[in-house]
Amino acid sequence: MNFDISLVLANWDLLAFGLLVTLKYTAYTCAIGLVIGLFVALLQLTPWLPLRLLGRVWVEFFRNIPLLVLLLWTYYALPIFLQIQISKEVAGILGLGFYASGFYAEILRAGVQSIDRGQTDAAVVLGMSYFQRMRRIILPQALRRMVPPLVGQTIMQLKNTTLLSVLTIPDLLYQAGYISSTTYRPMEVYTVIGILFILILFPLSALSRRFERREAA
Amino acid sequence: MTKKSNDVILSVRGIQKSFGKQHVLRGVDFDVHRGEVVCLIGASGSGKTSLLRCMNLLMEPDQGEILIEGAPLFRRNGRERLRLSSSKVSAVRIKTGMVFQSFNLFPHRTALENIIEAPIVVKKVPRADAEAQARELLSRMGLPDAGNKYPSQLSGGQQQRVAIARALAMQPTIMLFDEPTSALDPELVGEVLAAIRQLAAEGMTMVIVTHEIGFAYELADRVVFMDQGVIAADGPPRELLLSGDNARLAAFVSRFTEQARLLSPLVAAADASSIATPSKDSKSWPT
Repeated sequence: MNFDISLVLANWDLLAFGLLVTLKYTAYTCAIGLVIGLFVALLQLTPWLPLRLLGRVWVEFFRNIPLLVLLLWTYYALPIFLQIQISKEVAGILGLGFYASGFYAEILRAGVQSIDRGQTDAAVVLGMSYFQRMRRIILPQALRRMVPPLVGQTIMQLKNTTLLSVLTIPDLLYQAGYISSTTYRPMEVYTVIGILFILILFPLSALSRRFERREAA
Repeated sequence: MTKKSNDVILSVRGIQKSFGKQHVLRGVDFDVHRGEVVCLIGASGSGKTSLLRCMNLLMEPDQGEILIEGAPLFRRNGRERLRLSSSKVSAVRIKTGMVFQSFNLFPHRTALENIIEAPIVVKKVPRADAEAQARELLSRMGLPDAGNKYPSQLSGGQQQRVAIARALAMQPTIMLFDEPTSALDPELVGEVLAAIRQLAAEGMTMVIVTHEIGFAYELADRVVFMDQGVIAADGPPRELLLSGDNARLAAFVSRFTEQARLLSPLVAAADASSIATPSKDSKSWPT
């Protein structure tokens, strides 16, 4: 066995491009997921049953469909259903973003609902409006509890972008496959990108852990 | 007691409330006059906490009418219903201050921030004025140094006194207490009761749901006994608690008098020792 990393390093520009694509898709789809997730969480928190059900259906749909199936369906099946053209980039962003929204929505909803009912009672009795008590009493407490699961979900999201390679979006994994097929060095290439993922994500999870400890103290 | 006036502060009429099949309030009529201290007593599930939570519409009754200082807070008669905007409800509701069994202080805010929150956000009081008032209230509650502490750094009794200060900061005309000492360790009950006693001495109108029968006996102008969702007896504490007219009330009270009778040798012993050694200044605040 001869572990020769020089061929991989020679193609560093391809890997850097792949990394950039991975980070870009993570940022986009997390942003979409959070915005839609917040909206869906608010739906689930209304006293109005039809809206709650709508939120519930959304969450269950995207939480229970495998991501790979969702991506392939969005790219290959959705355009035929709707008779439209969808680029692989749009399909990838929509699929991953909607998928994330289901998980983010649950984290946000559970965070708000985990706050003791007495906090709302106290704020109501003091005359605070719905928005005042959400903004000043409930959300500040809920957000602290949400940070660790939100970070966890974002880590998952970055890892999930590797599935974009099946849509031939040139993310880190796709680039690695390309380099591997031209250099015949799969061992070195896949080892390097595996380490890259760990190097990127480990600080994030360490940060979350530290935050959690500080909160517990 | 003579401080009671004919001025009705809070009036509820025909209040009904069900949870599913459980009919917790079955037509309650109830008035509180200015300066009056009313203690609501009764067994668990008799509806006393539900009644208290209906008084400021924290819980919405199915039927009935609620007036606070003459202003309608709720009215529902069959299908006919008074519609109030949430800001209108809030404007009437904040005439009541409420203190909860589990304190419900905001844990992410210091004691002082808990107290100034509503005056600043709801009443738009300037921050400096709100803080000055909060410090004065904390002193009145015997907690002059607690302002910068978070609720988790305070004992249960201290937290409840901060909660009382928080309610007072909105300058309510009536205070509602929901079992204010039930969640406290026994040794911390006294300091909270002392704070409530002080409010009574200052003439605050109060409705207190309590299991402290002795406290009700000592402090209340009127005791209301709730049983199975109705007011079963209502009157001055001495007459009401000592009369045997209502069998269920007599049974309820007898549990406490039985306990008092068992403890009477201790009282006699304590009395004897306090004659020998003069008691400490009873006005000082326990901390």
